[in-house]
Amino acid sequence: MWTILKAALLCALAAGGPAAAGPNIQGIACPGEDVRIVVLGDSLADGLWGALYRALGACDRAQVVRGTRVSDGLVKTDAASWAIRVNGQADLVVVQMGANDITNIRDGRTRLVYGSPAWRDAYEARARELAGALKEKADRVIWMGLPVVGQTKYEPEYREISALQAEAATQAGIEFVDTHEPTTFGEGEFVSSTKIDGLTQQVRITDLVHFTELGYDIVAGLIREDVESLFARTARDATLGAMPLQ
Amino acid sequence: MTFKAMVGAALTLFLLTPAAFSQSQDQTTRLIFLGADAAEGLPGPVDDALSILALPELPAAGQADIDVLGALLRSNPVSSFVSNDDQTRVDTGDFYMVADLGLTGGTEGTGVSVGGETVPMASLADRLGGLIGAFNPGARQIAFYRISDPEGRFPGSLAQIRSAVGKAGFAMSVVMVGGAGCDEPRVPFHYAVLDGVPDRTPFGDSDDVVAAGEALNWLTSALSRASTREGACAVSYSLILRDDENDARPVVRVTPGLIPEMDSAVYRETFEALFLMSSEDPAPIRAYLDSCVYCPSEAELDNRLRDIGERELALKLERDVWETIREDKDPSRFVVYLENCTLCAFREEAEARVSFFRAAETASVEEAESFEALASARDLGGLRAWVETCVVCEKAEEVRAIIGEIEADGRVQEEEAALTAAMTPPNPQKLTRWIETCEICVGLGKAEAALAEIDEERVAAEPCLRAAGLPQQGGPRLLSSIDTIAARRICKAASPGLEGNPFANVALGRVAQAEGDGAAASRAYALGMEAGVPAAFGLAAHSAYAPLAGAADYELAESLAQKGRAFDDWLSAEVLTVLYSRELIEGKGPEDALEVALEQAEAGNPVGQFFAGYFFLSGVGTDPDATTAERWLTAAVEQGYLHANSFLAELYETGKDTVEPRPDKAAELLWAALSKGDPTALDRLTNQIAERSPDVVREVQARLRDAGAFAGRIDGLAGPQTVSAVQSFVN
Repeated sequence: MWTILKAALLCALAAGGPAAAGPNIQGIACPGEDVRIVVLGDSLADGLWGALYRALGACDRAQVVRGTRVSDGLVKTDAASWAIRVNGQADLVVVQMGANDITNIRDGRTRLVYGSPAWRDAYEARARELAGALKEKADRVIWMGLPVVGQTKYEPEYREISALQAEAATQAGIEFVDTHEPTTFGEGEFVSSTKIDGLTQQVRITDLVHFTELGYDIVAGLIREDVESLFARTARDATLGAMPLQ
Repeated sequence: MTFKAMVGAALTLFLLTPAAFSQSQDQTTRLIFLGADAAEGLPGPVDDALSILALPELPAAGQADIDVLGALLRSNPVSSFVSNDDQTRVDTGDFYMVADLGLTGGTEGTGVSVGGETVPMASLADRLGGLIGAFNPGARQIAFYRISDPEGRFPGSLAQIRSAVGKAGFAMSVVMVGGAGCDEPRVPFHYAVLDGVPDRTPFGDSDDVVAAGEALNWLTSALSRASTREGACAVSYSLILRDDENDARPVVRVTPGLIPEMDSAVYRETFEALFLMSSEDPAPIRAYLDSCVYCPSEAELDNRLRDIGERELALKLERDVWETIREDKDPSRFVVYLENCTLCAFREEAEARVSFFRAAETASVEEAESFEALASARDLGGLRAWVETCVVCEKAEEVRAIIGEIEADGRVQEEEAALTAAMTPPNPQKLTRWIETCEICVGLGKAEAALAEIDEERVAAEPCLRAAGLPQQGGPRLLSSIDTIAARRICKAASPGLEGNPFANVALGRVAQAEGDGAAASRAYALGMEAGVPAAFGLAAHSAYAPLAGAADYELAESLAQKGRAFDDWLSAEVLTVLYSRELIEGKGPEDALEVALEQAEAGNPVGQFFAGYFFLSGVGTDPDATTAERWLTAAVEQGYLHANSFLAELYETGKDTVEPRPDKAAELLWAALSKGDPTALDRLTNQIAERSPDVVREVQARLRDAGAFAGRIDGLAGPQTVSAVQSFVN
């Protein structure tokens, strides 16, 4: 009886609740060919790396490189230094940073006040420089914007930073993934938990910024199709590139 | 030495030789000039064998001996005589005389002037006889009388003159009658006779004796010539009087080299005459005859001139006849001309016209039929050839009109330009396209002939092509599978017939590529592409895509492959498929690759079928479709394309969508490929064996055991023993 009731409840929740949380990175198939994925960024990116690592760490032909550092960002570390952390060529570089960048930029003896036009210009330039540098090091680069956060006082700043990053990514010709709306999990605003497969599950931790493992799995799921496409392409390249025609 | 000095020397010798003078035994040849200039007309020095004496006037009667002796004494500072010999007559060898006389009129009748004296005609005989009597009479050979008769008195005085001449007693007397005289030197007939000219070839018998007959003949010709030339010094007429009619009588005993300059002149004229004997030009012959002095071969050259004249006349007559008949439309008069002509100067033309008319009889019908066919087909090339080669050409104007009409059509010009492009060098694809699309089709025959020639070249190159694994239609024939030494031997065996054969060049280029010489291969492929060899495009495209050395040039590879694909070259399409599926060309992607792959698959290309199957299996350029993938992969496998076996096996191993799992079939496919050394199947059963299903592994283990390569348990476990067995089996 409980089982029936639970099933009915799940169906009702699924039908009448918020939209599904989207694809989860977990369960993705291992690549058929060697693939190197590098994740760059701050603590949010570190959680993203963790999700990818949990999904692909067991695959013989997948290497998920942790290029993250907590409390870091484009203000503290310049583009060239970030690019060095790729440490060789990669098939895919995923970037997510900015949560720590709501502060002044020091450029030698010059200090650019946060929020000023000069700051914005400098920040966008750094983002553009990083995007360009990463393009040289990877077949594909995905820049993920900042998620919605529970501390509403940061929301405008984060959205502006994401906008600057999106502009820089577009100019550099790399893909930008807006995570703000997807991380509302269909609720339209910041939520700590959401209904997934009919069950309410926590997706954010108590600092109202970072995600739970499930939350990160869902955020990483935003690029699952890209990763699968990458795997398919590397497999295709390996199959067709090595195929003897002559 | 001047002439006077020479004469002086002769007289000195004559007078200072006492035995010659006094003993009446002197045989010196003597020439006396009476009232005449001994140097006139003399071409050069005279040999001492001839003694020359000059008397300015006729001696008085009875005084001749003394005058002659006096003249001799005066002309020499010292003379020597035998003191007791009282004979004063000059004794001599052959004796000759030249006398210049003038006939004058007066109250006492005709007089004769000699030097500064005029004597009555009646006393001429005595006075002359007196002079001649001063010399011994038996030696008197020839006297030359040069008579100036401006008033024409000679005929009236002939009897007296003849009497006087006769009394002189010369064997031959030559009387030359002319006008009032002239300032030019006259022809020295006397020197010529004494030098022996009448005896020389071609005048005489060259026996070193001038016989009377030889002298008569030569003098007759020379005097006649002198009269004919009508110069200021011309002889009007002449008489030659002879003491007897003995032609053999010697009148001059020739002294070789008497007058060297004269000898040379005669020699030169003799050769000049010989040269002219073969001349076809009358002008130099006439010039010679008008200007010669001694005139050897005069008669022959006269004959030659006459012959030439007769030929010219005959030629003129023939030309007139030819002009009359040349436009005839009938061969009959040409035949008559050929049968009766003398010179036959127009023989070749006449024969050509006869041949033409005979050929025309048969050509007329053929040309008419040919014209009808060409005109109705509007075959410009054929019509042009018709005009150029027609014999009767009855339709020539009509044909030219049609040609002009066709040429005015702009399409003709475009088509001719396209054909020229297709022919330089002959490109089979362009030629085929031209033939298929032309409307007027001028040059169709040429295009078809070029295509046939190309096909002959291809057929001739077939053994060489096969040895080089070409064409690749029917699946990839790898460079590594080419026996390069054998291929070169086969291609060489077909030489020199293959020299310049574009198909063979491409084949040898592929052999060079198999040998690792990419540069040579590229050159050969470039030439092959220029010649329109389809395989050359794919080979060049693949070389750009996967060069033996250096970086790939994907843009170039695509460009070349596109051209090759247009020529239905499978390798070109395969290169395009890979370029597009791997997204190596901007703006092109998997969907484009699928399109090319399907086109090739439908065309029966097993590699294209594999591509199509793989794309549907993996969802490249399309949604995954296991059923379609199975169809195309099966098609590729059935054509023997081993690389496809592993992919179809992958589908059957686990099944997908509507395709049921068939591990036995999967194992069979892998085993079939493995048995033939396919590296993909080997990889699947060694490096990737962990991904194989136990059922497939079990089937493979069983086959390995049957092949004697595996002795372990048939348990479906992909362990190292199984891998080792697979490798052992392949090795």
